Amino acid sequence: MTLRDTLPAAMIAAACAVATVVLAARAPDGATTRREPAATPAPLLDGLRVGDRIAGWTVTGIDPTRDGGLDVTVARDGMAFALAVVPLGVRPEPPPFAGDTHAIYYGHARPPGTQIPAGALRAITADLLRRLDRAAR
Amino acid sequence: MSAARRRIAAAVHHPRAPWILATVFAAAGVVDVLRDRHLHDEGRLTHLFARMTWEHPLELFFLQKSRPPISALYAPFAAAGPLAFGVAHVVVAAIAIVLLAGIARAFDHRWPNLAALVLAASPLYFASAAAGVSNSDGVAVAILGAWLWFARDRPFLGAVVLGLVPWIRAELAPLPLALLLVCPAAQRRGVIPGLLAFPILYALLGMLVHGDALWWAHYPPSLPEPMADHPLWARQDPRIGAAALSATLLALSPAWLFAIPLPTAPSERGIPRAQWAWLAFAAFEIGVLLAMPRWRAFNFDLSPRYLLGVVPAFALFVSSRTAALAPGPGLRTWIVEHAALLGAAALALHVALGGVDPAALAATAILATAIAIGRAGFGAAAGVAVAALLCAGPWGFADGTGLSTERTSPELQEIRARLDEDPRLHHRPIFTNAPLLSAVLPAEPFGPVHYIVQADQLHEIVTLTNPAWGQRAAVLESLGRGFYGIPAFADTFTPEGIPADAVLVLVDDPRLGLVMPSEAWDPILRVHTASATLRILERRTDPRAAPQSASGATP
Repeated sequence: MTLRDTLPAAMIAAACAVATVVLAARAPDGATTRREPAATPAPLLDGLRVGDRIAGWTVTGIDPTRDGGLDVTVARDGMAFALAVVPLGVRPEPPPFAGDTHAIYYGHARPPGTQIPAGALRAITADLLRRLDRAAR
Repeated sequence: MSAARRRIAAAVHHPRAPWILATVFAAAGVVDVLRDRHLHDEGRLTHLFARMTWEHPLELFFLQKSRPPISALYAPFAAAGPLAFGVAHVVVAAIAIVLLAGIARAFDHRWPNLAALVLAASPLYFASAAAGVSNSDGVAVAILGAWLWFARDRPFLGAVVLGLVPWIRAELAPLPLALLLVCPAAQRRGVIPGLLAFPILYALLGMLVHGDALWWAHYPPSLPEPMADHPLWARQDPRIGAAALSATLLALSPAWLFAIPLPTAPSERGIPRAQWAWLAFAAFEIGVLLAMPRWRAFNFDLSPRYLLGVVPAFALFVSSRTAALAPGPGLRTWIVEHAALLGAAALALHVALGGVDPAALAATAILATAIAIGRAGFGAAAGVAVAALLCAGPWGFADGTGLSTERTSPELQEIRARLDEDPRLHHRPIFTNAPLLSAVLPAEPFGPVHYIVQADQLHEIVTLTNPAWGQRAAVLESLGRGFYGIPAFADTFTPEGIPADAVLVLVDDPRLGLVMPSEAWDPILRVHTASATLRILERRTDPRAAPQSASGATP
């Protein structure tokens, strides 16, 4: 065995590994289709977890909001947006989607300026509302 | 030898290990079928042709479009229903995993079961098996033929089986020819008659049935060119980008890089000619199938599944190359190995910098690590690294399969949500152009699902069937019993012909205007729900009161 045998491949391996980590970390939340390692189910949304798919979109983040709800980030094909599921009445703005107990707001499309497809929005919010119903029962 | 080494040796050598692998594959496949994760319209078509073969065996066997060998194989299962068909389809694909290990063993591979693992863990092979598409059948039958030929030393029988392959997947037709041309004369005895047996017998029997000596040319397996003015082709981009290419290669196998052959040192074991033939076929296939959509020939698009035939070649070469990783490669080997590695790393980096999942970079890192530790003298550890990468395939590298229902038919969830929400839409007949809707919509509380047969589908049925001896009538009669639901053919699907309470669920499709011209349909329909890709419509109660400029009712 010589250094020539192993060193170049080892260097390429290290470079690729570093690039993987850096690019995965640098990507804006949910801007890639990578799955987060920790996938704790959200009871409010009937066990929805990071990595699940809704209408072809991958859930890349589920984070608590300050007003007692959840921010759900979904991504597909390098595009992402967030949906905030919060108790009805805690936000002053009229909600674009509402169930019996919760409202759903959406936004934070990435890359900036991207238009969220209306069909995807309707399908995802409908799914979230059904999940809220199931969880409430 | 340590216990760990003994276990690794058993895993890569033991003849029973592939059976365990196949069992796991089949069990996972059945679960996948039950969960409809890869429900696909082409898979439903495979089931449909098999069911129709059960109903009209003669008419369907001499319809080349029906892929007669596999339609005959699956006919009894298809008659029992989509689930029985799906299970049988997965089991056939699983058996091929065992056979490929047998071929690798016959080719004197050091770790023959690694080849079986490449096939079993190929995200695209698994997805194809679960989806029910014929691509995995073509690969399985090709492997069966090669196994009979090379592992069981039955070249005639193997060639007979390989002779069936073009009637299962046309793109696999060059494989038997490559094997025939490249194999040594001693291995070719009886091969030419074997390869010709089915084609000649089929052509002669078909001549009697069709009453036409050139029936096979007059009624080919697929349209030689798309229907004139086909709007779907006009909208399709026939070029493949770096991201799609990378995703496709990873979906074929995350260890695809190891399929690139290295100049073999004299001290290393030789690779049999048949294996080279399979790789030559794979290289040809990749080149042609990526270029074919530019020519718009034989309805080929850029679906990754058309490339599935290259996976056995990848599997055999990944097995050979992994086992050959040892210190002291020759200079030519070293240069080619590192040039390929750098090329793969550059492609992966380019794709990742474009904002796509860095999975390709991760795969390249693992393969580069395997090379480094293998060349350092730890061959078994290199094998474990490659095997670990392969095992991650179905989870980590499946985005490029193009067969996941959530990706290919995302509208299904939205349709279900819209129909669920409004009780007024329940128990009413549904007319749709979404081919999978009937498969996912429960009988309650929804009404019967009618599928609007598209103009190009009808064109294909008419062009590829012979009306002279009742074949076309039999095919249409059989289709009438179920074709993605209850079929509504263009000639009977008129505004006056649908029930007053019909609900139309229309997915964005440029072909729809050929069956539902706006001027005929818009005045009688009103929009219930509309989104970017979906419209749900109802009949107006008073069509004459509708404004003539009603827009958006049909694409």
